[in-house]
Parts: sequence; C-alpha cells; structure tokens
Amino acid sequence: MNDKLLDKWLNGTLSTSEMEAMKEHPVFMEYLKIDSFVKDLDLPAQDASEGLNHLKQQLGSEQKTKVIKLGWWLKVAAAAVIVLSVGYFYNASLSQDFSTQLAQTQTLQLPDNSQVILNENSHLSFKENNWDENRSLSLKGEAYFEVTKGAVFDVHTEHGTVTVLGTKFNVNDRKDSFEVVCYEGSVGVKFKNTYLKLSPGDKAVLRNDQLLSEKKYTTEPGWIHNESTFHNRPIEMIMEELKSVYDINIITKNIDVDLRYTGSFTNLDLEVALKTITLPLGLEYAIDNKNVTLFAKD
Amino acid sequence: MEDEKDICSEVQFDKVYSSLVVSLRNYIYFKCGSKDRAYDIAQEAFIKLWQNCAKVTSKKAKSYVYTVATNLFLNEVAHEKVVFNYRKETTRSINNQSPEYLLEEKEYGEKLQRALSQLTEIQRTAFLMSRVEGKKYREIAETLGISEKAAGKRISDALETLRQHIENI
Repeated sequence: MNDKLLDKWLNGTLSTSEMEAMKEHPVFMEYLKIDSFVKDLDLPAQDASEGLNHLKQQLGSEQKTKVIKLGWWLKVAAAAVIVLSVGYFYNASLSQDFSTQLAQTQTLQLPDNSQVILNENSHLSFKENNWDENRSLSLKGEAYFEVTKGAVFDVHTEHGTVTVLGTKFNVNDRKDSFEVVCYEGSVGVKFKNTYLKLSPGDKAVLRNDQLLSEKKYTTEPGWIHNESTFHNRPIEMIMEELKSVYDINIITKNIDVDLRYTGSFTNLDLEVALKTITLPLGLEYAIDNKNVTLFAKD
Repeated sequence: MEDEKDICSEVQFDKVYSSLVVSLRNYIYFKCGSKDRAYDIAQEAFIKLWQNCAKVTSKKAKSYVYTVATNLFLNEVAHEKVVFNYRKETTRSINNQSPEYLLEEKEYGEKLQRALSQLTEIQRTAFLMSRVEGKKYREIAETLGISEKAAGKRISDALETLRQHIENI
C-alpha cells in the first residue's frame, strides 16, 4: 500500500479518486472498518465553563485582579520589563532542574519520552534545547532510568560518567558511594581511567578508589517500589539510608561498628523497617519522636 | 504582544483555560481510559498553572499544562486496565440487519476494545487524537512535541498494530 496516500487519508486530505484506488487494497478495507468503529468510541462531554467554575471554587475566590491605569512612561517601562523577562524565561526554559527532598521521589518524562524516577534527596538537571542530538544530564544522588532508543545518553555525576544507548539502569552517586546497576540493554561506566561495560544483571561499584564489577540479581531497584535493599553493607550505611528515607536522627549505644547487613526494608513504615533491621542483627530500638536509639541486647 | 499577556490576570487565565481544557482532558483520557481521573488531572494541571502564573508566559502555557498533566499521570501508582466504551446510539446503520451480522459486529467491537488496551500508551494517544478528535498531524505533532513525520508514524503504526491484534484475537 502507498504510505503517502495512507498518510493523506489519516490526515484527512485524500481525494475521492485516490480513495477509490486505495480501496483496492484488502488491508486498507480493514483499516476503514477499524476507523469506523473507533469513531464510535464514546468521548465524554466536557463543559469548559463548568470546569472553570469548579476550578475557581477550589482555588477560593480570594484572588481579585486589579486594574491600574499606566502613564505613558510607565507603559514604556512595563514594555521593557516584559521584553527583558520574556528573554529571561526563554533562557531559563532551556535548562530544566528537578530536586527531591528527603523522603520524596518523583517521576519525570524527558523530551524523548525516556523516563526517570528520581529517588529522595537527589538533584537532576538537563538542557531541553537540542535534546534529540545531545542527550546529556547531570545527577546528584540516585535515579532509575528507562531510556528510549536514540542518540548516546550520558549521565554525568561527581564520581564518573555513565553512557548508554537505550536501556534500564540505576545510578547511585552519594557522598562516599558510587554504584551503577544495569537492568536491561548495556551500559558503559567511566571512572578516571577505568571503563567498564555492564550487561543486564551487572553492577559497577566504587571501592577504595577502584571501579569493580559485581553481579546483582534483581530486575528493578527496590527503592522504586519503596524498599531499600542492601547486600553485605556496613551498619553505618544502613543508618545513613534510614536517616534520609525517614528524615530522623539516629543515636547508637554499644553497637559493634563492624556489623554488616543483607536484606531489604520498607520505606513506608519506620517501625516495620526498624524491626526488619534490628531483629536479624540482634539489636533493639527505641523511638522518641524524630530520634531513634539503636542499642545492643544485653 | 498578544501572546505575552499575563496569565496572572483572571481574564487571560480564563481564556487559556477555555481554549485548552477539552483537548487536555481528552489527551489524558486516551492515556488512562477514565474520564473522571482525566478531568481531575487536567484540573490539577491548571491549578499548578495558576499558582505559577508569574513564571509561565501565555505562549508556554499549553506545553506547561501538558507536561504537568503527563507527569501527574505518570506519578499515579496504579495504572488500571484501559477500556473505552462505545456510544449508545451508533452512527453506523444497524437497522434491518440480520442477527448474525449484528453479533459479528458486536464481537468485532469487543476485539477492537481489547486491541486498543494493548497499544502502548504513546501510540494510543496519538492514534485517538487523530481518529476520535479528528486532529491533523500538525496539531498532534505540536501538542506532543514531536515532528509531523513522527506523529504520522505513531498513528499508522498504531493502526497496523490494531489490525494485527484483531486478526490474532
């Protein structure tokens, strides 16, 4: 079938004689049938003025507009301000910034429909301008990426650069740790002079200033389902994560600093999370408002 | 200066709202298949626009509310199964038809419903904007922030995918 004519038909510019020619194709007849059924789909009515009233009720009617009469020189000044601010916002709109607070995650869509889930206490920025050719963004903190196929996609962090083509991967770049996990496709990680290529299930970790490759057996990071997962990590790191997920202070008493923890804890319920961590480690906890005390069992 | 009018003025905001709300609601409706949720998301996007009126120019208002609404939709945790219903009184003539024919038509309609729910949300949105709302490629491309060629491709790919799905169900 002629793609140009098909486009014309879909775009509503097909002539009657061209239509007759298209009807020769059995596939086009099927398209016509689909089209006639789709046109019968129910598109619920929407009354704009009713919606507007609704919206105003929600906003409360406190905002009243004021009309100020301007002298001619004020008009000139106002025009200058508008021209300047238009320029400013045009510039500002080229760079996009997103930040999450403690205990908050955010899902974002990039201009090419790639998705990013930004974990708590993280910052992401990119330039919307020329995005299709130059897919490059900066990350502080942790984020999970699902990248649509296209040009090279670069994630710059303080520790290293992650380069991909189209894939799913997680980047964690916190104060003393840098971790990249590949869940689908393939990912390149660069740190100083080391370059590692990750396949699905691989993980790159920074240890003692060296980039190492390890195996990881999950298909998605736990935190996007509100869980924090650890594999043989020091108790110190677990406490850091607890602090940032729940926005709390942690005090320890008589705890062996060499303790290590393997497992997950929920990011939704502090009490459950504390139980999950303390029980296997033989610890106890006490909660007093925003202060949590961890101590060894006697 | 028409395009740079201040959205913080109620008159201008009302104008922007009235010109965009129906398309925006439909756009989200095509993604999620629920008119109530689509309406809530569209309203919330306009509340955000009002709250940020000083930062958004009239020219940018459209892409602003579409982006906010898309992100609100993505941030909803549970995406339920998408089902679109047919109008009660159909435009196709069904008078004086044999019961067999009517049954076949009904089955075909159900197959199409299922096939639609299997399209990717991106394909379905562009396709339904074109077929149900009757929008031209140019308008769809502008709304989705893609090229006309890409819009055409999404729509014709969706059509072909539907055809194959219906055949295989």
